[in-house]
Amino acid sequence: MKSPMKSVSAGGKLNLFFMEMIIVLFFFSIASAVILNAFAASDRLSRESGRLERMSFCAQSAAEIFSETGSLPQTLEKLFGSNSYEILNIDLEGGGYASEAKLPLTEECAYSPENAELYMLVSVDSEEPGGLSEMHIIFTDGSDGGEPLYEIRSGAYLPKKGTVS
Amino acid sequence: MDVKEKVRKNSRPAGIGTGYLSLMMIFVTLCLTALAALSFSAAENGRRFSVRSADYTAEYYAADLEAKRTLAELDTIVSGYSDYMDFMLLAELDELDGAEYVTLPDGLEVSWKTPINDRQNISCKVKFSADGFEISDWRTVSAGEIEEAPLGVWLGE
Repeated sequence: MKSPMKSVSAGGKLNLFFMEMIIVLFFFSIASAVILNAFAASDRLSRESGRLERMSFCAQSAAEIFSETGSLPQTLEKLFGSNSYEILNIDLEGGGYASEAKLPLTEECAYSPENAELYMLVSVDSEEPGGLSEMHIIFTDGSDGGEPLYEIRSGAYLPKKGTVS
Repeated sequence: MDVKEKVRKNSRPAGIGTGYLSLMMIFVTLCLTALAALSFSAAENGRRFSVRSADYTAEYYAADLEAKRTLAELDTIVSGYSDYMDFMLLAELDELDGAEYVTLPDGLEVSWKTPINDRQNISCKVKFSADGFEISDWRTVSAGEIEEAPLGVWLGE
């Protein structure tokens, strides 16, 4: 018995080839769209975890410095360098001590107002300077009033007569 | 050359036969799918690890703050007394939740634990004396583990 394919002429084979190519390209484009989405999701997850790590390391550094110094200006100076921050509000009313700073962050805690992806809001509350101070760090995205991405609370207790080792 | 021979000559297969493209497409798609799945799995694992690490950092510093708050409270209590054997002082220390104390000839040693999570605690030991206080122990320990358990390493003896 003769195969029906063998009876196809060269022009017919070319048509079959092009038809197969069209079908293959169609399915490949659908598969590519799905696969590209998976790659894009992986990239997004990777960026998110990188940003979270950066926030965590930055907060950890700030908490460690604050536990030794107990002062927000000194913490920011050691973390970002001198004259690289601005204390927004210092409230000394009622015997309390509170200060707040908002810092634009780029890579690795570097201070750079341009192209900032993250903002670090740091506030310190204490009954008196040198006693138990509580530092609250909140990271938000660039938008104003953005949703908190990461939050940490730490403290310092440095009374004059005590020694912390 | 007759017509039949001409037809046979013209009907030779083209460069790539039918079916090869489909096979190649299936192979490439499977490879890409495997790569995408591995990439997504690695990224998801990385994100999960980052979240756990960041959560632990926040939990640790919150516990550290609580421990410092206890220290501040203890310091306020102890600094009000000059005699560390004072009944009132010891009664106040008894009221502190989880604090254990040992009276020493030259001072008072207080230890307490602050939970970080359900698996770990911060173990604190502070010695109060006339000169103030000295932190002798401030470390992370496993909850439920015997703290003084030997590590079982050779000490060169």
